Amino acid sequence: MIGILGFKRIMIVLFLVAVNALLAAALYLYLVPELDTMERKVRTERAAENTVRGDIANIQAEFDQLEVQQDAYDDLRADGFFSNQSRRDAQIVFTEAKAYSDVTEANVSVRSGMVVEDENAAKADQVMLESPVSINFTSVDDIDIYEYIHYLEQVFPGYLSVESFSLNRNANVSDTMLRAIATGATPPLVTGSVELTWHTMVSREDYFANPEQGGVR
Amino acid sequence: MLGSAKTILMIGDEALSIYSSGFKGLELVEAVPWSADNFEENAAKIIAKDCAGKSVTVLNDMVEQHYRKERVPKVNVMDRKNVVTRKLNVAFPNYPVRAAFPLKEKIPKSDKLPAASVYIFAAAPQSEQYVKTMEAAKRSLASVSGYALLPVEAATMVKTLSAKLTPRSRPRAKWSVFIGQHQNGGLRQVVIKDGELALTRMTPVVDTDADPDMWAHEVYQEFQATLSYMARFGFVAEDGLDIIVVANPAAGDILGGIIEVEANIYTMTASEVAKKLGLSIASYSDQRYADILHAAWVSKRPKLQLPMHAKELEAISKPRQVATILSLVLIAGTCYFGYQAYIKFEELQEANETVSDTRLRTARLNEEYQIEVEKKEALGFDVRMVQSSIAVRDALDQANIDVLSVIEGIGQGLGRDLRLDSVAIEPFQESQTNRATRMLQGDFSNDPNAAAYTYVARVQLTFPSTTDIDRGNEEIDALKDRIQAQLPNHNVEVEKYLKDTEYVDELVMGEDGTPREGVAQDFVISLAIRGANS
Repeated sequence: MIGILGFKRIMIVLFLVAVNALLAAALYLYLVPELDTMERKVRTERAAENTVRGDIANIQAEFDQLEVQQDAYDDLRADGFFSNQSRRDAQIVFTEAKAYSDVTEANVSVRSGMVVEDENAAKADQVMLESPVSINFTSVDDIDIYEYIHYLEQVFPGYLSVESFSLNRNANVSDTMLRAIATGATPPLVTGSVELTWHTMVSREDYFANPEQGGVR
Repeated sequence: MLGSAKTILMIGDEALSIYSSGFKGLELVEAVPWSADNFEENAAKIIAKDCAGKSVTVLNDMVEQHYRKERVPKVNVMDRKNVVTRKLNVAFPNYPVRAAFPLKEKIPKSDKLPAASVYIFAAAPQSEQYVKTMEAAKRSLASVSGYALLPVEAATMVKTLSAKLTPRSRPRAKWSVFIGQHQNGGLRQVVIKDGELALTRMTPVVDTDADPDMWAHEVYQEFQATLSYMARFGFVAEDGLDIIVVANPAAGDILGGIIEVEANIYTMTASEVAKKLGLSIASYSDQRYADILHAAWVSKRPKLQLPMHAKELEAISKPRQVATILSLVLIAGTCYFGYQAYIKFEELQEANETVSDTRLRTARLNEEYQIEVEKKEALGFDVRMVQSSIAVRDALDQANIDVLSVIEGIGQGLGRDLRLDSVAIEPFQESQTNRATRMLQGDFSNDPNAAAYTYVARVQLTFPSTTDIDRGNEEIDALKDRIQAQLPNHNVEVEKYLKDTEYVDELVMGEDGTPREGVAQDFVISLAIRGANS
């Protein structure tokens, strides 16, 4: 074959094959994937730029709003939204709520808090502290339970979000029941439960400097 | 492939003439005698170096060439090639270098014979000159694009030349004779009839026109002999005859004067013919020789009229053609990949610059934002903290279930006469908001807000067993409408009417495990209220 084609021609073909392979490899194994990655990067960077642009526009245009926001922020602070979830304070509020609402029983369980990363909180270098709360009620009237929840919503330090709620009427009001109530007894006509989450926002730096404060039961 | 053929090897009886196209047109590079020492090596060197290894076409101009006019019965297209090949083998069993091409002439069907096509079968011997030429071509490593017989290729040249020389006012002659002397001294006459090769002759004549009269008379003698052959092929003066002679003007004029036959006689120099045909030949070529015209014609043609087939030729040409095609494909591939790589690289550079620019702009904007923040902080606002905490609170509000509002709405809907037995409010699982999942679960409701609902409240009420079912169901529908009115952004549905006896019904059974007859059972109805915090 070398006699017919000649060494030079064979070398040229081999050289061209090598050049093709090299270029194809460079194109499909490096340039195309790299370009895809770079295009994604471009989109991300542009989005980041637009976000900052938006933030600047907002901060410049919303000076009046900022004053309103400052009021809302002050309210949050007054509501204990930036507290580290003191169980003692919580205990006081639960006791007050029971007295306020006249529920017969309110079994409260506040489980250990946990730190949760939140995109919005991270912007101010904060983390979320979240503690699950379960309350089981018995009451003569369902209104008492609603008042209990209402009291918590108004007074409880931080933010309480309702995850689920259930209420059951165990017995109808009969003459016997009415007579019992008249004598001062509190028959458990209604039972209910509510699952809550206690949210507060704490400084990342402070929390990680003293984490046990947030995890106290 | 032939279009790129720039080296013509003309096999003559005395020598191998090597022509090459250059800047000044096609020129004779060298005529290497067959008897020369190291013929193959020398010829290969000339092809490789003096002709720069350009693609080679071999043209046979030897005396010994064989032509036969053969009739081939008309067969279908699929079989035609096999029939022609078989007949060609029979016609020239001892000449492996052979080929056939069809003429315009057709033989119609007669009583005794079927319709047939007429072919010219051509063959050339596998002579020593042929073998030496192939060896030289092989050693040169130049690609071989084809091998042809000069008279066959010349026929198309004569036809074209005759057409160009004939004035429009005059009808074209049926016969044309091209007479030209070659460098080896032989006089090549090519006769065409109706544009197709009719006969060719190669005869020796005096190889000088120093005595133009003698040269003209010798050529005239040969032409007379050709005329006698033409007469056998049916030539009559009325058919019209063009005679084209390549010669120096003096000798050509004498020859033109002594030809007696009625014909259109054109005596031209090689350059005049080349100009007429649009061929490019070196201006210093001897104007009385015609072989350079044949070489230039074949060099110019995109493909051979009758490429000859031979094993030796194919053994050289096929691999080299494949290598050439492969090289071209690879060059095209290189160009494509190179271009694509260049484009992608440019795009990558551009994207890189865009990222850098965007980062730079973002950094500047961040600084600008920081300045704005500091301005606000100087005024007493911790902007990041304020906006961040409000965003968190809004998100929590969004996810929260406003139980008291829902209960209030339900309570308003119930009014004074109805009391609920139980209510359960729980968040929707993500799968429950998916339309496909809901349909799989049997929920075909077409609520456009279905995907936005975040919680569901299930309410149960008990109606006494004495309740009229129809009136009870009407009351349930009315209750549903009242709750819906109180909770406008919610979706209220009755999951269970009085008449149903499904999973929520109470069942009273005796100690023996069978339902107790005569014990009236209350009706339990159920409503589902789906909603989300707005």
